[in-house]
Amino acid sequence: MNGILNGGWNFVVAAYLVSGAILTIYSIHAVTEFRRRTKGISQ
Amino acid sequence: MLLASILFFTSLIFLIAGTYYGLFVAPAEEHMGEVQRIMYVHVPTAWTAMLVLSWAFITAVMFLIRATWRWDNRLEAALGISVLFCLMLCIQGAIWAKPTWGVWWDWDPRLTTTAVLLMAFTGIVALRHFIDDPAKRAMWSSVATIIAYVDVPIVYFSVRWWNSLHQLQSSPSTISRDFLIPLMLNFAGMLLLVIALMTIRTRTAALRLEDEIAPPLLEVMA
Repeated sequence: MNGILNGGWNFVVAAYLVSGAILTIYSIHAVTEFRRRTKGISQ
Repeated sequence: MLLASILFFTSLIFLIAGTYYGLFVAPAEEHMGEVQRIMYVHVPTAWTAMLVLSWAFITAVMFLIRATWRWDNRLEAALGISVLFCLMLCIQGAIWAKPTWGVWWDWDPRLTTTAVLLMAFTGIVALRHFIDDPAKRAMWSSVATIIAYVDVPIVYFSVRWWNSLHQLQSSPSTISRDFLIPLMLNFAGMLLLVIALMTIRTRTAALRLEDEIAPPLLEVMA
């Protein structure tokens, strides 16, 4: 115990992956919902 | 939606560059080592969340002043994205807390006030789903947003007002250039992504409102 952290790449990767997944899923949802609405209007 | 597409692709370039720099180019921090690289995604998320929450507050106030649907559509978009960024903030914070504090969660002032913010804005989004009358929905969610926004400055100053495990705010003047570059690249990427999402969600809210106020003829005749 010297107050210095060693390793921890798994936490770094987890933080990036979770953030990327959340942003990707929300972006896909937003675009899909928008396309569904615009199709509904044009029909 | 050409603008939104351009913003999406530009944001992707910034986010890829920021992630690459943050993970592979920037040096490990002296005490926290590799774990500190979470900062390059956590801090831009926090900055963006604060901006989106402030935009939600502005749209709520503007709706109450102007009483036009345009501001309610903007509010709807801002509320959903606010919840998204508050959720990301809590998850990233928990992942960073485990190796540095030894726990996934602590009822620390910064963490608690952020959780309150997430709950409050999730509640407002839920409230909008439960109210069918568009006018009541817009009015009540605007008032609720203004009340919930009171927590935003409390979140920001919580680390100064109380004893907190969470570190004080970082600013460009207190961190080295190698740390600042990925931070700003990711912040630019997230900001552009949020503007793209906000554009799409605002337009979607407007289309949904049109449906509610004047539903398509086939739906009325059914």
